[in-house]
Parts: sequence; C-alpha cells; structure tokens
Amino acid sequence: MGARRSAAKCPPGQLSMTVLCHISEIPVDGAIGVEPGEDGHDTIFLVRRAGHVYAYRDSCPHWPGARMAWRRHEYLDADGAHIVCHGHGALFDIETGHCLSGPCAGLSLSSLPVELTAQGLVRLLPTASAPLTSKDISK
Amino acid sequence: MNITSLEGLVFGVDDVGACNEFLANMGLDVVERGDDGGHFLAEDGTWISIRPRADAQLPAPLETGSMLRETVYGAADTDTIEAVAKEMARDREVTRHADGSIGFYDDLGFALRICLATRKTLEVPAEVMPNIPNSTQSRGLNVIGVTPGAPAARPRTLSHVVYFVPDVALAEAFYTQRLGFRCTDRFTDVGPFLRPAGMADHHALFLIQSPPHIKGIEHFAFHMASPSQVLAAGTQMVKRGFQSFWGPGRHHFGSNWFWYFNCPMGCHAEFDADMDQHDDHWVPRATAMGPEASQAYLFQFREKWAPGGPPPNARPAS
Repeated sequence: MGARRSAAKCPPGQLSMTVLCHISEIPVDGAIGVEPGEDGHDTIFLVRRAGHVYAYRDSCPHWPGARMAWRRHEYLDADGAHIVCHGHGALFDIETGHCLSGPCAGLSLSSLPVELTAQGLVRLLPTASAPLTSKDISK
Repeated sequence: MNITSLEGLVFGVDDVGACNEFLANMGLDVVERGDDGGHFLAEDGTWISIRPRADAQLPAPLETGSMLRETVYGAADTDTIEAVAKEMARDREVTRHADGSIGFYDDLGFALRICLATRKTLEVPAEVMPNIPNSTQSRGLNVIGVTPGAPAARPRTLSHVVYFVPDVALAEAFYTQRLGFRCTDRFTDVGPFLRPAGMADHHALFLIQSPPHIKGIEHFAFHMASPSQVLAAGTQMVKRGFQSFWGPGRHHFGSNWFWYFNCPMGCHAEFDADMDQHDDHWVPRATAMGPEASQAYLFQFREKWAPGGPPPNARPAS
C-alpha cells in the first residue's frame, strides 16, 4: 500500500473546512478513503466523477458503522460504475448515494458536503447542523 | 448421514482479480490464479474456488445474485454418498459427476455437492501450546512462543459457512431431517448453529433468518491453529490495507476467537480458532442475539506503539 492519504489533522469539533486531500490524489473516475479524525482508519470516502467529488461516510446503511471497502480505497465495483459495500455486495449510485440493490435497497449513504477549491483542494464544508466531530464521522 | 467435513466453496464473481488477491492474502496456498479464476487451499486440503459469474459450468445462481454458487461437503465413504443420493432423489434431481460426487439443490435453492472427504490430519506445531502455570500442560522448555520472522499464519481448514435464508425453519428442517445435521445452539428469532453428524465442530453451517432479497452467503471462515494465529493473520491483513469488519474478539456460542474482514466476494471472511466440539450428548442452548450474546469480548486493532523513554519535558542529566 502507498503512503497513508490522511487528511490534515485538526482538533475534534473543528473538522468543518478540513482539507481532506488534493484532487490529484483521487484517481480519475476512482475513489479514496480519508481519515479526518484520529480513528485509526478511514471514516470518509471520496469518489471523483466527471469533474465532481462526492463524499460519503464509510458506513453501510445496512449495518451502520460497518465499513464498505474490501481493501483500502476499494469502494467501487470492477468497472467503476457503482459504489459497493463489499460486506454483502450492496450497490449504490455514485452521484446520489442511493442504494440500488442489496440488503439496504432504498436507503442511502450519508453524504457530506465538500467543495473543490481553485487550488484543487477537497474541503469538508460545515453541515447545516452542528459541526462534525470525529465521533460524528465515525457513525 | 456420515458427512465429515466442509470441503470447499465455489464462488461466481464479478471481479476475479480482486477475489484472487484477497484469498492469496488470507494465507491460502495458491493452486491456480488467473483471469479465468483461482483455486486456493487451506493446509488440510479444503478449498475455495473462484470463477467468473458467467461461467456456464457453475450451478445455477440464487435469484438474489449472491456470489456463492456451491457448498461442498465431504462424506466418509461412498456408502454415505449413495445414501444421500437416494434420499435426495425422492423429491429432486441429483447430478452425478465424473469424480463420484453428487450435486443437488437444498430447499432454498443453495447448490450443494457431496464428495469423498479429502481433509488431511495435521500435526500441531509446538508453539501453539500455551504454558499453563502449575500444570503438565506446556509447550516445553526453551520453546519460544513468539519468533520474529516466523512464517505467516496460514489457515488450517475451512471452518464454516453462514447463509442468509428467508425461511429458517424450512432450511433447518432440510439440513437436520434430510442430511442428518445436528443443532448445537440457537439464536432465537435468528437461526440455528448446525454441524454435520460426522463433524464435532460447533458449527459448519449457521442460518440467519433474513429478508428474501438478501438470500445468500453472509460469511465463510477458516480455522487457524490458535487464537494467536487469528491475531497474527488479521494484523497482517490490516497492514496490507484489508478492511476489518468485526473483531478481533471471541464468540459465546462456539467459543471461537474471530476476526472478520470485508471480502470482494460480497460477503465477510473470518479467521477463527479454538471452536468448541460436541457430540450427540450436547443439549442445545438458546438465547436472543445481541452484543452480549454474540461475543465474550471484542477488541479493535490499533497501530503498534511502544511506551518507554523519558517524559517529553525531561531535562538531560547534567
């Protein structure tokens, strides 16, 4: 595995506006996992598609808290068409996070607002509710 | 029905390369590995086969698309195979294969095969034995428990498979009444732990009552030689980037140590060790499933660190 693509560390409670990565770190039409807190493993994953970056919590709606990749950064199916939870093979729409088939069909991934800056940084934006905490992201 | 082993599992998958990569990293022997599939052995010869989903040689898939395509059990002798064939032929088609094995589908549509058991008896390495104080049980003087650079932990044998089933009563009746499996314990409102009559392991099959649209495999497990080997194998997986799902920990029912990982076959893969063994004198227990009932204890991996050295603000000795 390559170097850990950890997001810049910041104190719990101040994760909003956290820089998650640079766009060049996400393979074109690919995905990576990032760790904005200090959980010891990725808690968010980012999918790059057609100039957009989509961010979701790494937590399957079938069994919330269950991580989805089979190996670090492996969140998509073989042809990159869908997000997959490899726990039980559920397929999700990349743009909406909606589960198309599998145990949680009809439910959705928990999406997170991100922005792509002019410098190519992918930043986590504040949510409408309270700022995200490390514990919050782990849910 | 003297079924004595869980011999193998056949998967029909979407991403052959990923599945081959995963199984090779579990520490299995690689017999075959290519674009058309793979074949992987535990130390005693039990196995997992990977084939492309569209492979016409595979048994029919479940309607849900689960990637498990066949579960293979081993029989003690050809008389057992013939007895199963006769029993199944009462109400379903039985396919006879060139190697003497037979194939058929259970009452839920899972493809099964019965072949002659091929499991080999294995010698237990000395370092598996713990040193128990004031006991004759020990691994011996000067036998080291942890050897840096020791060979990687390898799965000893295929342990069990777990199915999501839409009608657990129907499935349990099939395995107990038609194939002679025994119930060892039960999670009420979830399902039974089952062992073939010729196996002592607490379970080779566990059934989980589930919605019809997820019928299929939940996980499979390989037995490791010891709890320590579960930790060693799991740690190696984490270091290589594989994603832990649950564990390490120790189950109540079966007493087996466990560590589960996500797997590209669309299920979980478990390393386990030290599972209880039973015979027909055992009286099954029943309890509701939940965090307390599911495990005696649960840990979580963390990266290595080492305590030691002076405090950060210590002044150098003058």
